[in-house]
Amino acid sequence: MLRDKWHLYVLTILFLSVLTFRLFFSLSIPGFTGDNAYATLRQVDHISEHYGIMLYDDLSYGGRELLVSPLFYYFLTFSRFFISETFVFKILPEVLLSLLVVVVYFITYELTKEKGSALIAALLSGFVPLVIGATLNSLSSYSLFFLIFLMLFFFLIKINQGELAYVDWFVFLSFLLPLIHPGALIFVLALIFYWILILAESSSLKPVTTELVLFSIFLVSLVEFVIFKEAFLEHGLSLIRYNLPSRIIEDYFVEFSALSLLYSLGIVSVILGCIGIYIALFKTKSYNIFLFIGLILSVLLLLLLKLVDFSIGILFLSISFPILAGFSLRYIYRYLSNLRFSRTILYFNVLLVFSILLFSVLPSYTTAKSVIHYGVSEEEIRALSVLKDLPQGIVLADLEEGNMVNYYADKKTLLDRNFLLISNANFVVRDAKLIFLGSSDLLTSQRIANNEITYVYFSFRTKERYNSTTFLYSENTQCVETLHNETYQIFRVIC
Amino acid sequence: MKPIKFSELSVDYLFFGLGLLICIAVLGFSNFSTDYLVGDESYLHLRLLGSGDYDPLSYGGRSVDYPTGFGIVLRWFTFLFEPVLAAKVLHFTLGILSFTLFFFILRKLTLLVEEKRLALFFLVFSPTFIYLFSFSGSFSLAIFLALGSFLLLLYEHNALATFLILLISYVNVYAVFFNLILLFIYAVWNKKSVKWATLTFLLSIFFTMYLYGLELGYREPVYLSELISDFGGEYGIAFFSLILSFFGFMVIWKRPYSKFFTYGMFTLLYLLLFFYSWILFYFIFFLSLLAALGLYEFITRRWESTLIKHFSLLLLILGVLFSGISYLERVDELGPTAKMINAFSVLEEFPKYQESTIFSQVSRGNWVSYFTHHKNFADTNYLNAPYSYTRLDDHNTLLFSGNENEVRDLTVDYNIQYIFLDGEVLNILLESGRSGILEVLDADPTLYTLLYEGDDVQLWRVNP
Repeated sequence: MLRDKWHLYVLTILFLSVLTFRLFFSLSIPGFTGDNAYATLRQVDHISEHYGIMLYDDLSYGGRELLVSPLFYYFLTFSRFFISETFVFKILPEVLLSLLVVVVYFITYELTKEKGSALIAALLSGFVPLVIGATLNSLSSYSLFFLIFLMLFFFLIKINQGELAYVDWFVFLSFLLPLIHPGALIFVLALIFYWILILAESSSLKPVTTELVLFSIFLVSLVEFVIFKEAFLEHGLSLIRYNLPSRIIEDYFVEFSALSLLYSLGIVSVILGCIGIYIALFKTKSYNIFLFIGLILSVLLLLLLKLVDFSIGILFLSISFPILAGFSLRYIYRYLSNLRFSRTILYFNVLLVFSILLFSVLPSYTTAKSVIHYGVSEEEIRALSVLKDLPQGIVLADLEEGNMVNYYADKKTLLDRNFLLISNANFVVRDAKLIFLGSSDLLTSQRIANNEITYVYFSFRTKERYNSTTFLYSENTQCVETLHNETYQIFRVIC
Repeated sequence: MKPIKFSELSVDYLFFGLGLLICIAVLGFSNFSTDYLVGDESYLHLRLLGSGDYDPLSYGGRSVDYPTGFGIVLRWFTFLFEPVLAAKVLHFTLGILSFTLFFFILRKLTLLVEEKRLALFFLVFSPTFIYLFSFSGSFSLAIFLALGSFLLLLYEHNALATFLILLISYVNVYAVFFNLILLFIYAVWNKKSVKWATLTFLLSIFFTMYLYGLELGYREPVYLSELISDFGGEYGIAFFSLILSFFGFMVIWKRPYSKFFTYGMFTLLYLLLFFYSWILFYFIFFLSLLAALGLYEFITRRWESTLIKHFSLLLLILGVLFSGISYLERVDELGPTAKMINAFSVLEEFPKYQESTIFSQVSRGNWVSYFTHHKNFADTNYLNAPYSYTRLDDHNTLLFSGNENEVRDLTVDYNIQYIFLDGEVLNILLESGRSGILEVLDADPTLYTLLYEGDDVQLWRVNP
């Protein structure tokens, strides 16, 4: 009995390890990391109060229209009626993200029919530094999105294997996916590439799979068109990258080197994943793996055309590589078992586990520490409460802090990371940067006046970003009054 | 009691009647929901009504070396209605008549009756059709004549067809050339009418060249997002109709139709789309047919799961309806908007120096001249426009260079007295992160004075 289900026990341990790892960091600070978490909190508060999504935000960009995929916010609000806030905002997203390990296990098992390979894939997926960096303690809609995203792939594989009971589930989850995040378009694109790859192999999809693929394309397109209609009309196809200003896009491509990318994705995942792609394309006729190659191709295409935010694109890549890695392991094990040395597999396993610890778990740990370091601490909440007691005015905070200031200080902000429908995003980003750098007093004062800025919030994150110890402009002029002068500085513009 | 039996013919007319009612409702809404006229070219014809040899306001003054047929027909309508209403009624009438012609053309084609009926509905709900017969100007008349000539051809009234084709030369030059290419492909396929087609082709070409010369004028670049209405295209096709048309394309492959005609036609339309966005006005009739073939294939094919079948069909129908309805919802944003018209009325009250010009984006040129009675710098009527390429280069320099001296020199050269900027150009500048002309206008208040600033509209005076 125990021997039959050993893999389930290992999987449970793996799930609990990942969850513990995440919760250990997530619960260590009272606030969240990343501005997006606070945008979510504000939406949830709004729904609790008005029973509807916030479509106009008085505080962001001094007042702007919002277009959002609403389901995740409703899900959190609904959960909050029954469970404590700490559980809903801090623990629930981490549970959902840890469940990815379980889904990856079952997907890889269906692809390989080998428990060992599937467990390694699950382990790899639990400790991808980039995923940890993007999702830990961030109350991100990706927690629910990626779970459903991968479950859809899993159901499709099962349906391909003839288990038609999963069709209804696939249809149901297809409805949910575009309501959680516009990344559902990547799912559609991945299915299209999957179809193309199958056709390229002179094969064809099963009739039911064809129907599901078509259905998903129609459904996701229609739902996204309805939700983001105005943005499609305003930004056209570049909506996919959320109207990201060219300055920000350039910054991303400068920040990422090939080596750091390899490190973030997990070296073991990438190497084994690439081997998996090679095997899938040239050595086997296992068409289900094409789903994940299709996903990689679709993301690479979007990245190449700069149609997707770099960090989001890479996030999608990072969840597909562990599965491909698991797929390749099956063939590596087979190859090794044919060698004459009796203990080759054992040595390989030791090397593999050691590599995973070194290149996935350890980088995940350092990434998690960094995530928590950049999170909102008690001290920062106290500093922002100073700002809350002041009269209303526009606050200049860093790009990554806009919603946080909205949430804690209840003040209007000049900018945040949501650029959708903001036509002058390029100018605002440029002005914010130049004001923080404060290289010319005259130009800085002009820019402050043009943007009607009343307060400046200068956190340690802003200091690090602009490599500055203080807000330079405050030192050279009498027009700025210091309201809070610790790690988190607050200034008021008085003339 | 005897059960009522419907013949195939009466069912056909029943569907046509239903389609016509929807067409009347859709075009009625798009044409008459605003007090003012939407669109660009109609304002040119509304101003001149097809009369005169010289236009003193376009491009600072030019001779009328372009087709004025639409303006002449519009003048006839102004005997019955006031000018703006006349333009709307003309578009509306041409739309209804073209829809009827399309129905009779479909009846002559060897397709399944269900597919023909579906095609009518795809056409009515397509944003391109709505734009064509609400705001497009001369293209509405040109397409109507083209459909008429094609129907006559199908009924083998070749002489009458030739007459209509020659009439198109008086309406729209671009439509003439494209119409002739389609005609030629049809004739080669049909084999019976090759001689006639060659003769008509040559006659029409020489006639058009005789009237307007050889130069077709400046060609505006085409962007992918312009071709699809749901991505913001002004008269793009509906996304879901496009998807269905791909399936329709595959259906045609399996049927014993002439591959030469269908694929030749589509390849041509598809290629030309990348050069001229107005090709969509022709494309939409073929696309409606293809989308209908695609949808009918979806309905009749054997599905493994009826649940997915029903959901997919529902989504497709909703998608097509969504594109059409959301397009109707934004017709008043296509321009000129009420805000722009307000701004123009302000400008009309300011002094007009002799020979002075108003600078605006090219796409606003016809509006500037119609509403303010001032000379425009340039407009979209490029055919035989004087020094159009130089003017368009200078137009871009003025808007985007941000160079004070260059801007000043050009305002003097072209005698520009006022500068009109609206949301579109401001957005282009903002999104590109460039200040362009805004920086120049802001730089020295003695040189440029802000006369009016409304929502998304700015009017500047160039001080002498």
